[in-house]
Amino acid sequence: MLQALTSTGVIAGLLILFGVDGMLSQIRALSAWTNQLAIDYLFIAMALASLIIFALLAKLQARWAAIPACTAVCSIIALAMGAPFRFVTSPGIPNFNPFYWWGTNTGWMLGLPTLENFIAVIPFAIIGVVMWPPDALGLIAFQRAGYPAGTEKAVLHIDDTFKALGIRQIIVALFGDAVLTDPMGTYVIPASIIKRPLVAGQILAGVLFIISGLSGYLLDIYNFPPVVRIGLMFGVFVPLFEIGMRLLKTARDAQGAAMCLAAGLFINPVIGWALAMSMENFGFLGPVEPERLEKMQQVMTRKTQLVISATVLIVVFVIMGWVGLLPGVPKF
Amino acid sequence: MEISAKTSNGKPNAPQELRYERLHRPAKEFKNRSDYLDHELQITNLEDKRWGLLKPKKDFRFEWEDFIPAIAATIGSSVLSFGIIGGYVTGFGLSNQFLLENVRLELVLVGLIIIAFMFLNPRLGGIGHHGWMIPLVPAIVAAGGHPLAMGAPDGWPRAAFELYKRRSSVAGADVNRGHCGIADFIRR
Repeated sequence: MLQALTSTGVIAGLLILFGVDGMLSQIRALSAWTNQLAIDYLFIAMALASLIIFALLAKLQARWAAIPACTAVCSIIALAMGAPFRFVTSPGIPNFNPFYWWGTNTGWMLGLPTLENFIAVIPFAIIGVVMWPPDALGLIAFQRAGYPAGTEKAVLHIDDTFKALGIRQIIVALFGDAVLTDPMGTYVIPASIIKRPLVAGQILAGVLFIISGLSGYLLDIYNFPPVVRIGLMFGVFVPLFEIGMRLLKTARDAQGAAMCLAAGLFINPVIGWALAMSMENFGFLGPVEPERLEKMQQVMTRKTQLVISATVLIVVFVIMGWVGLLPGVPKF
Repeated sequence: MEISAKTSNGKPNAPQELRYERLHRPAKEFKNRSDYLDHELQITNLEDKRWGLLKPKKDFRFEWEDFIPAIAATIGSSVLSFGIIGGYVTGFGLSNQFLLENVRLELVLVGLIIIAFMFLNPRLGGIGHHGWMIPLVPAIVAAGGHPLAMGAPDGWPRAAFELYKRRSSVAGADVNRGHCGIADFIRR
């Protein structure tokens, strides 16, 4: 329902906001790392090299290879210019004991979450849920484009995928792991291009994940700043920004996006989304377009739309104020 | 296309006809590799094996090409894990050592989960990481967000939604609206 209430423009604004925010945070982290090492020219060398490779991959229509290619080249440059790298993690089995990870003096040192913790994350959980359909549907579109005719059954199944993701999220969270889950674009995109189905390659990927985790050495490589920062930059945030921009088709979309972006930067991204979404549904940004209204009415009545929009906005504001994330407002 | 003719003209009630095992033909019989891969895709999952148990050779097979997305996914997912978990670790002021251990747990656990799920359902579109949320992690930490509290509600509503099949209809509307995803941008 929340997805139906959110217009293309507002979603675009959210994606652009996260794209820019993400790029800036990765660049800052990388720059802090190079400043700390005090190696001249390292930062600019990595920046130019990764940008050129990214452009080349676009030309070769192989942008799914951006993460491996850009991170490999930047790591080589960093090592050649004298950045230190040491293998510090030895092979080993992870600690599977949830009581270790969620202990008060061990693991995360947080203890078990209280009711307050659960309430505090509600707005973020909502945003997570709102953000994934553009991702999942994009993957389906990509499979359809890459696969030959007559392969409808080889394409991913949305309901099943999200059932599995929900179960996976709960299992890993209970075990002590702080990850947020989503469909695996890093697998589906290359698989669509080389025309392989979902099943066999993912089993191999699962095996490789386990090998990476157990080996320890591979973890050190993934954690090397040029790998993680450049990988996130070109593998996640630049594409995310682009997707957001591509969603903008009309002037109305652009207005919704600008409102979401402005409110997101002014206050915070969750408020940005809730505010822009409600403004749009209440017609503050001009009357709701007839086609969108019709589509929403297939799911709910007009009255429900307004009630839900207003409720979400109020809930999000109250929780954000309560946890102290409204700038300039003392924690309630 | 022999296969599409077979499946559209043949009786849908004849499961024998739809078995991957029966429809599979060795790569040698095809003019080139690309035709073979096309055929493999066309005969994949014709028989509905969702939430069944898949057997290699009977329901699918491994090819060397499978290593390409598998390796890309391993690097990508590991980097995303470091991004997400790293946000929490920095926020809570924990050590780099701790980050490595938590990512190790994540990779091993998710590896096991993926393998288990893929043998049960061939149409799952990957169990990956929500990299788009990375910019929000510092705010989650500032809000007093506990990773377990964040992880569990993020999972519960999804599982619940799916069980009620709501999402498909909503998603269907989105398709018509021309939503695109991480995927489309690469194609230009």
